[in-house]
Amino acid sequence: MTYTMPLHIQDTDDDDSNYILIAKIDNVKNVSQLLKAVHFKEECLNIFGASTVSGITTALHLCYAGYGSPLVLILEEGGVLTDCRIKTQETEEVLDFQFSPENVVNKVIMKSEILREAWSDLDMTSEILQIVMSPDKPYFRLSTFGNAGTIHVDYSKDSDMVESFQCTQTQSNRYKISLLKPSLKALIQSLKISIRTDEQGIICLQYMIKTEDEHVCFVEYYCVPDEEVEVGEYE
Amino acid sequence: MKGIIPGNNVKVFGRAIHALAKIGEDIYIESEEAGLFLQTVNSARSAYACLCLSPHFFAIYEEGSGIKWKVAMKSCMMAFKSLTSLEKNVDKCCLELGTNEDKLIVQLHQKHGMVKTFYIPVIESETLQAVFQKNGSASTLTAQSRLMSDGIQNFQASVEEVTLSVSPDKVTLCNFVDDEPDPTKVVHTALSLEPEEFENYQLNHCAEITFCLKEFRAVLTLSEGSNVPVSISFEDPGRPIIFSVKIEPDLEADFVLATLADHNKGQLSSSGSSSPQRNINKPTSVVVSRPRKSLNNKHAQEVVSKQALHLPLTSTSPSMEHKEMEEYVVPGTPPSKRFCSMFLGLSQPSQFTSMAPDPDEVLAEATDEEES
Repeated sequence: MTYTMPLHIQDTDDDDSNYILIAKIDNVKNVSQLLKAVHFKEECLNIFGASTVSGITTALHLCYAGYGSPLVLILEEGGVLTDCRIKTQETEEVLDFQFSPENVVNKVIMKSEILREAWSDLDMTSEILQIVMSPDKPYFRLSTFGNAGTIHVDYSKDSDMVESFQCTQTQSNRYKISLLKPSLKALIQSLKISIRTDEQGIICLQYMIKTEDEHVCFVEYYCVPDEEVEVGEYE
Repeated sequence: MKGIIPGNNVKVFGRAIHALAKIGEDIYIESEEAGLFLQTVNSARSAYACLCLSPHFFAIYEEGSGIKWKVAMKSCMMAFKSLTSLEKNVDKCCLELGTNEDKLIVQLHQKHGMVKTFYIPVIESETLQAVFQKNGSASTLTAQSRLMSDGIQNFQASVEEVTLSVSPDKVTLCNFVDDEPDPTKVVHTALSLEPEEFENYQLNHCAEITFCLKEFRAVLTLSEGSNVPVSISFEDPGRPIIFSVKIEPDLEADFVLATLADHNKGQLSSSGSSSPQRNINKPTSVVVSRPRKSLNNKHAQEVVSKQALHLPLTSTSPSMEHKEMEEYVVPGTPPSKRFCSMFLGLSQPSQFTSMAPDPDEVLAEATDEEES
């Protein structure tokens, strides 16, 4: 998952000249909210405080001096400073899905609300979620195949909840529910979602999230289709 | 069979399924000219519910010429999980089952052009028939659901059974305390109602009836949502108590609950009243006969239905049943059936058999016959 949000990236000044990255934000909640959306372990987020007292915001000053250095977090709340240093680890190579907009075959933008409702109805005992996107009926269909039965949820392309419907060819792909589930955290917080698939069936779920300060941020989630399913196994 | 339930009835239907789900693990469905019948029975066979939806409950109803089938409750609940969503979002609900299909199709047409389709596997084609008399020599009380739900709210969540004591000038509802080692250490809750609070108060003789609260709550799930009264019919202890709900004009439901036999009488003659077993209580005389036929086989249906089985319902609380089962059930046997017969045979004092069906009549076998 990746996320993008506006942080104030400072030019290095005298005090901070040792750092290669310095970022400041007035309300740390904006960061922690997004970190939750990218499936961060909750306990790691306690560092940002769990206080929900209204009117009090915690400011964050984040610095990093480069390879081998700790990540420095300075939190300030009501004149109280907390200085944290988190040891950094070797990075694993980030998987590149090589999902490029030129290869997008189908694209739907809809309000998250209507997709949340579907998630609550789909059968989580199913191993896979099948997504059909098509210029013709059923247009946009989510299906699960669980122990208790098969469920299809269909959306009309003309629904008032569907903002944009650009499907050029009929695609039916299956994704492991266990892989898609983490993105629910982002879905819950989001206002809109853009669902795109490319020629290979790789799906990109882009969630639009508004922070407390009305900043618009995006969380993107990529998933490859499940190859192990035999054709005809599901209806 | 095809039925389309209009939006205003979808929530009622959903609530009916929720009420059934509080009782049994399967729903038996029958489509006839007179309407659609939904039935369920709990695993101990001490509670049974039957719902009848008249053809007018539907916008369109095409009967399935006596088509009968059984589906798992949890499958059905997938479609009707959220009552709020059913009320807010669903414009209409279509039910469909072809003659030779093995899937019941439930389709919810929702706002915003969303359609949810549920393919619910039909487990078996079988029926459930309860034998009970609704209008015998019973006493009948009718009260608003609200009165009763307010009443039972006073009981602790751990209360499993309640006793309804009815006399010409008072109705008392109290929790039934029986198998506690020290009854003085248990919270006793009793609540009195005046006959004037009831819409109908037709009493043949005073009675003290003890039944399970859990299934009574299921009755109220259905009736309270539509704000309709519940009629309670009962005779003597040990005879079934029947709760009837009518949601005008097209839905009628009967919930038949087993009751405990007169425990005072039992104590007099029971030698071991301190026994951990509840042997002072006698099962009721409710009988469920249950013809079964193989899938889509008219001939087999006729043959088997003549061998109607009589499964007496037991009168224990669920926790009690499990205790009993752990002691006596042979692993691998169907628990409920096994339990019925074991429980009757072991814990029923023989002097009470006059009020209950002869335990020897219990025919818990022969339901799995397959016709070719």
